[in-house]
Amino acid sequence: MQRAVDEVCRTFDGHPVATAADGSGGAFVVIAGLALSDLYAQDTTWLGFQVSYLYPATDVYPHYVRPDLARRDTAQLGIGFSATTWGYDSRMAIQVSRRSNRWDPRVDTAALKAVKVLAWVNSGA
Amino acid sequence: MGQQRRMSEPAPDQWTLVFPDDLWHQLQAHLFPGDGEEHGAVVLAGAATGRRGLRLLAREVIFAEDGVDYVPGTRGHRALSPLFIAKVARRAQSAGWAYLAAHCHGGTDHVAFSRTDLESHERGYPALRQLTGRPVGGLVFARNAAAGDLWTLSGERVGLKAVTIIGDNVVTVTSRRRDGRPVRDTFDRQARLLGAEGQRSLEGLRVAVVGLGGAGSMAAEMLVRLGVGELVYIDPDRIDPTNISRVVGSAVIDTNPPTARSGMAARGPRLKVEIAADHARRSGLSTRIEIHASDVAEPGAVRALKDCDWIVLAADSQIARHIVNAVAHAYLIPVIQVGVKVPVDAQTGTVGDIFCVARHITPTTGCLWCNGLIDPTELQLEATGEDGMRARAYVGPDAPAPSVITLNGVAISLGMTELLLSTVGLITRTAPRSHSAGYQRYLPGSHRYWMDEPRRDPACIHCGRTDVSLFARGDDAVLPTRWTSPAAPSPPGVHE
Repeated sequence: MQRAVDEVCRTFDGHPVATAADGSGGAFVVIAGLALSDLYAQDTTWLGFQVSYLYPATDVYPHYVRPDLARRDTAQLGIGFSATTWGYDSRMAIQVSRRSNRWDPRVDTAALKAVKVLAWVNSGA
Repeated sequence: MGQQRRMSEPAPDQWTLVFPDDLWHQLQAHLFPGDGEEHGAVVLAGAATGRRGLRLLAREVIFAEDGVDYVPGTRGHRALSPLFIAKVARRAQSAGWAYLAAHCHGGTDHVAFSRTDLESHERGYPALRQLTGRPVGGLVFARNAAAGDLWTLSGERVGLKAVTIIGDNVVTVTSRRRDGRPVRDTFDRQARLLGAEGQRSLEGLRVAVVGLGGAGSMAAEMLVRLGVGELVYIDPDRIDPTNISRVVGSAVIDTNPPTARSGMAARGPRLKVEIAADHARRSGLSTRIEIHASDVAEPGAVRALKDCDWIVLAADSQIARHIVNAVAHAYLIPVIQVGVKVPVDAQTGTVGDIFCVARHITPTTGCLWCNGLIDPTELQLEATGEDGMRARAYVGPDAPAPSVITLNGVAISLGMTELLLSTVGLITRTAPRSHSAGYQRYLPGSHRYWMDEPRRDPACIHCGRTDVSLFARGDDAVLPTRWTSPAAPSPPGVHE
């Protein structure tokens, strides 16, 4: 678990990373101040996810971003986004649903997945 | 010497050695190539301690080449060369394995160390134990017999009780043929098939049943009536009115016990493990029952699994599959996984091809991970509790799957018959197979039956033989378990 968090901190160097134990041996992780692309009305977002007590066998899914995320062109966020509450503080959030059907615990990590999910959000796909 | 043991002999019957059948066959082929000569090898093994004593778990066999690594000895007939010993000891030390030097003697059903063997152990093993920081010992094999002399880290010197080989059949090899108790009348009819030795094998088993629902309760019923010595029931759930049509031993009254209805302290519906345990006791048979009313990921349940000879996996959750798969391969425990799938089209209600499966998973077959039977995303959703359930709602409602007692019965009968025949050595395969055991599949709607060939990923995190896999690691394995923290979740910390 600590290795996963350390890798997230290294990968997102310069961004505050908040963690909270989930009570089962896993952790909630929130990376703050991540840049959003020009598609969005906001400049930055936080990115949250839960690393479960069974990690790295588990996929890291889903991810969560700021609850007011909106497109600059006012279009709907589309498939893969849904409003919800999440985390140790039951905060309002937008759920980002990107499952990894070929998750390989020998290769895939929470940090890599966070990079991919952020890229997907910024692509507006 | 009277009743005292001579200093140069180990205390008898103190530990067991478990072999995956592929390693066993490789070792046998090396030791007994048909030339009648003596040959040598080293077995590297993980270690597991538990209520039934020390078990060493064979992980790797390093063969000594005749004339190079296995050479004429200065005191005995032949011996491992110092260079070979040093190389293998370094491997044992760096990887954390126990070191067991093996050689063969003549004979078939009886074997013992020679005086020269035991003296060489006394000369060499204390230093080797210090060098490796691991248990060190010797093994001697005849065709159908094995003896061992282990020098433990606590300074004891102990003898081998048995070698157990896990494959299609579970085979036990000891230093000599032993006579046992006669079979009780209760089991007379089945013992006519299984033999007295087979019946005693069942009585010596400790079997875990994970999930005591429609399938697991039926498995428990069969195992009790077969005469299995000890059963471990693991299930956190309480009985529900929709379970009564399938759960063996349950009654409608279990969903609303009298204390609750009469205004006394309400107990709520009964636990499934309690219902199964009471049902077993009513049989009057002598099976001992241990119950764990908890999820299989809880540390107590995981500890209970480690000490079992078999695990019956009858819970249909990804967590149960993952935990059982991990424990089974870390401790070389065979598994029977059973299940029924009734595919129903959510829109039209059309029923697809129903199938019942019974998967016999051994250390060499390839595991649930290798065969795509654990979904990492579903595993995450189950492991993340309420947030996972909320996240799943995005995919769609999680409606209960159809479940029918007769279909469960088919899967369980296939699975328990496999367990029974494997335990008493009655499984035969007619076709040549690259790996032992297999996955049985029956489609009752179309009356079809076949064996699925399991896949095996050599780099698998559970059953692969890589340096990072759990395979045969025993107590050194870091097993997945759920922590229970009353103060959870904790406030956040910030890493800048």
